[in-house]
Amino acid sequence: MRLPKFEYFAPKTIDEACSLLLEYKGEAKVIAGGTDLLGQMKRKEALPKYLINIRGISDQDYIIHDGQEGLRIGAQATILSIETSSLVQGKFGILAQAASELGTVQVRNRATIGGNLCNAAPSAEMAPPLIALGARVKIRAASGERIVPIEDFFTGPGQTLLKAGEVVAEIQVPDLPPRSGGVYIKHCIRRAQDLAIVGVGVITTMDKDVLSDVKIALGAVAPTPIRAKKAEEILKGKKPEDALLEKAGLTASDEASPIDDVRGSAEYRRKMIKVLVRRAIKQAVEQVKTG
Amino acid sequence: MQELSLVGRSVPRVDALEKVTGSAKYGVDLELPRMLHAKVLRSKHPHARILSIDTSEAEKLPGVRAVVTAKDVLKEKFVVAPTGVPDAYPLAVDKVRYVGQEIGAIAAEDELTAEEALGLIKVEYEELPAVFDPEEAIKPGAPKIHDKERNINWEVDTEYGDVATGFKEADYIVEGRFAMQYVHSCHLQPTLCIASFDSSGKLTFWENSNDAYFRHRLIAKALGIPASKVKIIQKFMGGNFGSSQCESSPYVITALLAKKTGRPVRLVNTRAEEFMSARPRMPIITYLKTGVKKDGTLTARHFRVIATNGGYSGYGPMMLVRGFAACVGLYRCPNVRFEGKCVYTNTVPVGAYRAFGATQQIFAVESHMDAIAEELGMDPVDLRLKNATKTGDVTVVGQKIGSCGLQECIEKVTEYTRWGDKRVKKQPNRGIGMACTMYDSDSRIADFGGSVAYVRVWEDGRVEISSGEYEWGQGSHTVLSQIVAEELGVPLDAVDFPELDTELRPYSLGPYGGGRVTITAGHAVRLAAIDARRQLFALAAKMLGVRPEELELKDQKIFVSRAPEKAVSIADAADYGKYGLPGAEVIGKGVYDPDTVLPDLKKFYGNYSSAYSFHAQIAEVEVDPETGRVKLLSLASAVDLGKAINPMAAEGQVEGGVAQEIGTALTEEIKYEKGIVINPDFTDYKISTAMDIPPIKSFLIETNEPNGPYGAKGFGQATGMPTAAAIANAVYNAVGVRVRGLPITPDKVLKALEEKRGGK
Repeated sequence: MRLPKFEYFAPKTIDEACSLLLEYKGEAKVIAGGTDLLGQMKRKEALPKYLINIRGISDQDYIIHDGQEGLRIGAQATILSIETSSLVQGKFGILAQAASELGTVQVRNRATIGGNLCNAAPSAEMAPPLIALGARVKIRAASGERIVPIEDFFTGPGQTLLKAGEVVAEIQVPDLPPRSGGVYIKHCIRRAQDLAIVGVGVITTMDKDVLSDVKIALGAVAPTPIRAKKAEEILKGKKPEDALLEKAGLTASDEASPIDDVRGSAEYRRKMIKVLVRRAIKQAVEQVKTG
Repeated sequence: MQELSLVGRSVPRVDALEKVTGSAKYGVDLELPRMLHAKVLRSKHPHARILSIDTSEAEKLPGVRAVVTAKDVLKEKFVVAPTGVPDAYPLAVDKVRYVGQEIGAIAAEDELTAEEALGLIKVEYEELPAVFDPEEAIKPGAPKIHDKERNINWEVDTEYGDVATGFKEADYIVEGRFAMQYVHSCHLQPTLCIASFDSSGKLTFWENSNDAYFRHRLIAKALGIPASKVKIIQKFMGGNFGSSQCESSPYVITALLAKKTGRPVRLVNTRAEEFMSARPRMPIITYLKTGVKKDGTLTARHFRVIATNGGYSGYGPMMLVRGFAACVGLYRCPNVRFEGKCVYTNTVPVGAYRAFGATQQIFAVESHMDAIAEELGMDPVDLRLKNATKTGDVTVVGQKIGSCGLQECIEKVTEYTRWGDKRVKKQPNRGIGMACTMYDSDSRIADFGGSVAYVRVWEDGRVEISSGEYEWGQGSHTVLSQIVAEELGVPLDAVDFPELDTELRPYSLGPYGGGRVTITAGHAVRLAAIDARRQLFALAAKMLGVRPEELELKDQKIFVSRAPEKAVSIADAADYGKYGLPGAEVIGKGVYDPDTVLPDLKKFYGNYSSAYSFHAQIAEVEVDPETGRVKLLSLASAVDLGKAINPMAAEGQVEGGVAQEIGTALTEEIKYEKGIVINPDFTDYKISTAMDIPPIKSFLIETNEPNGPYGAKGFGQATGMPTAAAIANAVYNAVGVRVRGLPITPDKVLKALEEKRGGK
């Protein structure tokens, strides 16, 4: 398969990229790692007239931590760098874990966190853990910048709230309170190199033997990655006992709106949400207990 | 017995270095001067009449050099198989019968232009009702796909022994329905052909099929040119597994475009085109009914088999019957009825994929054996051993079993996996399952089922094998080179095996119908090497002034037995033959035709293969009862291959076959929605990754086949045949549910578990 024809730009600064995007609004696409976009173009699912390669913008590939924002990941940090970062592994293990399950090592080596989010696949690997972590997205435009919660970022399959001329600059992840655990479960049919039928990311915070806070995020079961807030409410302030986890799983499954597609049926997805939410919370609580 | 130095040794493959360094030239690497690129216009509808085709806009596009449609092809229906129902044209005439069918093609200066031009061809269709499921397609009133009363392109009903009496004698009758899905072999190199005419009108053709000589005849016929005006060259082949032998349109189309433009033309499928049009394995539904006595003796079996043939017949009928024959001889049972139907559907026409029609049916046979054992309260291993075919048997379809290590294979894997312990002390959600198979070694599919080879000894002592048998990844060049090196006493790296060229190499069937190259071509190259050695001895005798009987050969020297200092090198003898004497250049000829018969497809009976390999496998799994996910933990395989000419290569064949069929068992399926493939890529057509392959232990059982060279039999095609049933049986052992339709996906397992819980 050959790529269709397109015009190519390689801006050196983020402002330059933003003004190109504004100029060719609707007809331009940003390319970073290209692991999603190039396939879409070859399959003629995306036919941008203009490609704006932001890989030449040098100050967007970083993973740092500061007291104010917590973890800060540049939009162009690769998935592999997140997977292997000792900073991420140490304090945000759920992110490193999700990163390690994305695609193949070759893909992870090229794919970027910004690309994974902007591609906005309902099954995007990095979305559920970031939603559960309460991450924020810093968005840049020529006119300035804005910061939005990541759970508001996705608006539909392949769609985000980015406006013409905007690009994602950074992902910010606040520090977790003490006694927190995080787990991402990717349910797929193969042991590697597969897309999630269902993805579940949870963060639990314990106060003694009670769940003082819970966040549950689901992937591949709705037009966008979603938060299962009703299920969270059921668990908050309670002991994570089996019957309660079962109920939370069922509620989360009701909050989702899965479809039948080539990877699985809606019915099967609902069943899996129930099972995997329960399992994920159990494992996260276990993490807290074992430290 | 002959003492062997190279045969039986695990030497690295002769093509390994070229392949791993990337220097091997595959068909796609070939660039010819002024070469054009072809793209195919394919049907968007599963079933439609073509009212008109307007190519005028496409022809005007700059860079387009030729467009071909139905009006460019000979209007004579053909079938790609040597026996079958002629029902196809290289480009659709009047009607299309599946999404992806070739309607026209374009040759242009580059692929992008050809692709753009496709969009400019206007086809007016009249859509017709379509049918996709074979059991729907045979119902009265189903849409008619061809001009036939029913959508059955071929059927058979044949009985061996007395089935009615056999069922009367039975204590139990067990019935079951099993189904195998649409799977594709996914050879990494997609369908490829490059065609080029020279000024004399001769067509040279580069392609990657496994039947260049059949293709040679077919192309000449389809183009209406003499056979001597077509030559096919075979480059390194990036896999195939039988798929492309069952297809002809891309090859004819490329040749037509080359003829029309007078320039070389190259056609390469995209992966999506491979999934929608390059021939996948024939899906088969098998209804089995078996009569069995309390002690496990099989008394009668009834196979009722319905195959999805897709839009055109191709090899369907042959696969159906030969697949049955390959499965039925595994166990002794004197009374068998075989009813089979090949059914037209508005889906892609089917083809061969490793073990021609048999992998589908053995899944049914071996799943069913487990169900029978359950019914009898017998250990499935005991049931199999009780009925196992043995050396010296003539099976119900006339197969003469010259060597059979089935029992030894079963015993080897059960002992290795500690089968007995694991069945008794079962861990929750873990399971162990067995399946066996037999398969043809060199199944006769044409009047001449043998092989011809020449072995030339050069004046520098190097040896050249001239044979039309091809290497498609199975390692046959290595094995055949080992045999020739063995007989001529030269090191393996002194043997060359030049690329296949139908003009230069003797006619051959290729790796076709069974794993025939080792056994049939093995004999042919061995005889050719022996003939070359005889010629060398005659020359050396002349040079040394002795009689040939007084000579011996070792370390590339021919010497007098009683006076080893009197010696000449092979090189000197060959030099003398070539330059010193008239017409004595050392070229040995070997011809071998096995003592087998070509059975009639309707009353299939006879010993169609000179040997049969036997296999037993045990899979161990863990099933997650809440998600239905099956984790394959390990797999053990024992193969009776007569004799391992190259044990390392043989183990590679086992591992490769098993790895392929793990996908069939658990993850792979071409999925259709209204006749359109909805997963035409490796994202959603899920072949196993390295991570999905568990440790595979293989045992090579040597039974010394009387009809094989050095006792060897062909076995490679069948190495994955039992895998799906072994896994299905292990799943049953783990959680008590039997998935009868492949693949065994998590949702199917979960559904079956829910039904089981609900039923209790």
